[in-house]
Order: sequence, then C-alpha cells, then structure tokens
Amino acid sequence: MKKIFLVFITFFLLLIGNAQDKWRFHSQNFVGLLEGKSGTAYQLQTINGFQKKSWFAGAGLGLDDYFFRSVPLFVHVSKYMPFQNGLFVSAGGGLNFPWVEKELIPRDAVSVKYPVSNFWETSLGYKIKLSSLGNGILFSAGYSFKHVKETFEKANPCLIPPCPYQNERYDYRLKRLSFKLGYVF
Amino acid sequence: MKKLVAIMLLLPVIFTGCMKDKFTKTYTIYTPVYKDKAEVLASIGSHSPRELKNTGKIYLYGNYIFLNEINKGVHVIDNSDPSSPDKVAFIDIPGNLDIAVKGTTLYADLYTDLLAIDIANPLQASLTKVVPDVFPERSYTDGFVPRQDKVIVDWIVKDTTVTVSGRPGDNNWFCINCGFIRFDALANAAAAAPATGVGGSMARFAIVNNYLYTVNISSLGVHDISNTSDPQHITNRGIGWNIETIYPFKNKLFIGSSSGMHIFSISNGAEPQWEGQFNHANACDPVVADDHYAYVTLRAGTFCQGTNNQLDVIDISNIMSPSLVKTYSLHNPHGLGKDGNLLWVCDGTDGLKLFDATQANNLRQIKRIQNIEAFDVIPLSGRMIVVGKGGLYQYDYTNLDNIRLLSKLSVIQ
Repeated sequence: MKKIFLVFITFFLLLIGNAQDKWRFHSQNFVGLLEGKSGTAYQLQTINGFQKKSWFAGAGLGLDDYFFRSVPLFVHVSKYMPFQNGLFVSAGGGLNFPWVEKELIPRDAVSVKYPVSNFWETSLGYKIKLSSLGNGILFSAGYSFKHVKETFEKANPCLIPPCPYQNERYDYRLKRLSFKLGYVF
Repeated sequence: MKKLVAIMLLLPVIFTGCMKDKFTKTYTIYTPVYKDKAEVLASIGSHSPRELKNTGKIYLYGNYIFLNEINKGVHVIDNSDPSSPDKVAFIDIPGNLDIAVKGTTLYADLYTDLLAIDIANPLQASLTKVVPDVFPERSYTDGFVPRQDKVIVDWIVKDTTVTVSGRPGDNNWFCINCGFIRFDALANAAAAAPATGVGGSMARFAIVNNYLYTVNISSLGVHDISNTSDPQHITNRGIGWNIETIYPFKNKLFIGSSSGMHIFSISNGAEPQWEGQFNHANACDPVVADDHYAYVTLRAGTFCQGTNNQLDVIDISNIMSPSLVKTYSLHNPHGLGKDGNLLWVCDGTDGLKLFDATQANNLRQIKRIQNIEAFDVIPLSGRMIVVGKGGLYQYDYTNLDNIRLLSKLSVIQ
C-alpha cells in the first residue's frame, strides 16, 4: 500500500515539476453509489488538484458508507483520452479512516479499535464540458476497494472471575462497484 | 458516446468475479498439554528459578516473597535485601492461582485440589499433603472441560486466521467444542502477623490463627491447619455469587463480591458467622479494612460488568449495618493496601496513588507514582511491594517526599 501511495505522489510531483506549461486548479466533487455483496451505500468525494494538458492529479477526501462508514483520504490521477473527447480513466489510492457508528460497536466489548487501513479505486469516466475554463459534469463507473480492520477484546462470562478475555481481529476486505456523478470547476 | 455508455454498463459484468467481500477472523487457539496427575504431584518441589512472565498473586513470609506465576507455580524470591531481590527457586504447580503461608507450609491450589507444601527450606520444597476437590469450580477452565484424569501443564498457542461470513454478533461467547482461557492478571498483596504470611487485597486465600479460609465463586471454605502440614477440610459454606476476594482483619473476614462486601465473624474460627453486608453496583471489589472503616475499590468494564470506577469508604463501626461514608472517583482501580493513615490504591494506568486517610470523609491524594500499571500493593511500615504489569516493584516510602524505587524484577515480554 505504501508503494502505491509513493507512486502516486511521485507521479503527482513529476506532473507539477515542469513549470513551462500552464497548470490549472480544478475541484472535482462527486456523489455516488457503491454496490457490492454487502449492499448498496452512498459515497461522497471531493478531489482537488491541478490539470496540465490531458493529465489531472490531486488529493481527495471522501465519505464512504459501505459496510462501515469511513473517510478515505487519497491521491488521485486522471488521464483524458486523446482519441475520445471527454473520456477519461482515473485511479486513486490512499488511507481509509474508519468512522464507525456507535450502534455498530459490540456492546459487550471491553475495548474496540478500528485502525487506519487502505483504500483504492479505478474507474472509467466521461466529462461533459460546460465552458472553456474546464467546468463540466462528470460521470464515472469503476471498481473500489477498502479495507477495514476491527480488533476487540471481550470478557467472557465464567464461573470463577477474573473471566478470560477473548482477543480477536476481523479484517473486512470490501470490493464494490462505484458509480459517481460529479461537477468540476 | 453510445460506445462509452455500453462500456460503462458492461462494467458490472466484467467485475462480477471481483465483487466478493472477504471477511477473515484472526484469533488465538490454545491446545492443552496434559500430564498424568501422579506424575505432576511427584514433580512438585523446588526447581531452578525462572523468569517472571505472567505474574499473579503475591505472599510475603519472612525474608521471602512467594509470587504466583499464573497456572504454572510459585516463584520463590529471597528478599533479604529488598534493593536486590533474588529469584532462588520455582515450585512447579500447574493450575496454581492462589497461595498462602503459615509457619513452614505453603498452601496452594492445583486446579481443584489444595496442596500443603513444606518450605522449611524453600530451596528444597516438598509436597506433604493433597486435599482433593476443595475447589470444584476449577474443573471447568472457563467453559472448557479438560480431561479429568489428567492435569493441564501447558498450552500450545497458535494464532489462526479463518474466513468468516460476517461480523461477530453481540454476546457470541458461546461456542461448541471450545473454551476460553483465563490468564489471571490480578496480583495479591497484603500484610500479616509474623507466623503467617501476608497476602493482598486481591487474595482468595487467607490464614487466621489455625484456619485457612478460601473463597470460591459462591462459597467460603474453611480448613483446619493447626497441624500445618496436614490441613483438614472442614466445610464449604455458600455465601452468594461472584465471590472474588477475602481480606482478614482481626476477628473478621471481609469478603468482596461483584455486588457487595460481606462481613463474617470468625470468633469461632471453624464456623464463620455472617454479620453484615454492604451492597454496591456491579463491579470488581477488592477490600481492606481497619478498626472503623472498610475501603473498597470498584472497577468497571471487564468481566465485572459494572460501570463504576471508584473507591468507597464504608463505616463498619456497626458491623451489622455498614454504611457508606463517601465515594471517591478513580480511573480504574485494582488492589489497595493500608498502612496506618496511609492508603495506597493501584489505579490502573493512572498509576499508584497515595491517600491521607486520616479523615475517612475527606481522603486527600498526596502522592502519585506514575509510569506503573499496578495491580496490587502491600505496604509494610515504610516499605512497599507492588505487583504490576511490568513486574515486581519495591519502594521505600519512609520519606513521603522522596519515595524511592528500591528494585524491580521485570517480567519478560
């Protein structure tokens, strides 16, 4: 995961390294759905970065309500296809910060932890250009992955206290289809 | 554009095979290692000293510290020089949790049995008597029923990862063909008369005169030890549920349970008589006492199923009707010990705290030793022994403005 993150960061820095071409700031903001075996959930994302020619790179922050609510923080890269106006492919990856609802936390646990884990996605999209400044409406569909870990310690009932603790860790590797509708300015 | 829409609609088909969420669970499996009971009993004696690893209760006797290694046995520590305690031997006792000493005899549990071990020479300890089935609840290792013809001497520990179908449900502790292991994290400290050793506020054994008192989950056991090497089991008396600790003071026994404190008179040592009770909310409950007050710590969370973390001071001048004097909020208190007007409280990760208990309704915290997660404490006229997560600590507190760490025997990680 660290390697993927470093690749994206390096790419991003390379893109902005060349000061000769003009860089333009853009903000992409999405609402969308995530669909997988564990159901359907909403997602929100905002990706802010710079575009140079057909490349866009930026940092994103999201809200992902699939299975466990979480906040992905990621780097993102898009490439607009030269042969098809408006078509783009994109990819992103980074950290996933769980933001678990209280009612989902086991009531009988002595302690529960949700460590930070990872998130990545890839998609195919299309942009409907609205102005020469780069504003537009974005559609994308693709694949999204997030990893959530849950570690807890429970005290089990017993005849003679102190009762034993049960330490367990659950790993949830969540694979979803991602559909997004967004606006870029 | 049409081609693009078609591609995007095909995506679900293309990625169907990658859409399975994968859930795994990682946990620890303990598999028992058995030995014949006869072989185990034959091997009870002093062996080479071992490292402290998973320490439990503690007992002081003369210049020796007897420190339980949970479910393994007893460390014998020569404490002639508190600044340099020396592990001199280890007495192998599988299933051991509690200890007490009188004269030259060490009393210890081996699962369901009570053992009397001659420690006249701690380096050459020898088993003198086995009293079977004194602790019947110990035949259940917390949901796991071991083979009854053998003794568990060790566990094979292995982490395992399995695929599961979803999240754990609440209270899903019930399982088939499995059980849960307890590793007692409670320590035992106390102080006592010369002929008898000193246990702690977390003890389940207590010796008063010629009687050994033991508490089980629901009963008080009485054993005649007038002949120290030949204990005689007298009775097990039902006294309620979730009994946890026992603390002797003069001719009384203060027995802590998760729902309250019971007070028994042992004027007739062979027949303890219930005298009074103080109820509190569900919580773990070590207790110490003096002539007028009992000091009870309540600890929340864990198996105690309570939500309170506090110290209760209880007026026991009317033993038939103890009453609450005051409650002091704490972090997560465990054992405690009293030396005159000084009350030491082990307050979990918040350290070891010292209170001036001159006025029961106005306890003042006067010192705090940080960076120690203490479980129990034995204060003894200026010298203090503390059992904590990091090992066995000894302090000199003769000068309260300069409390000195004399020594530390560390547990290996």
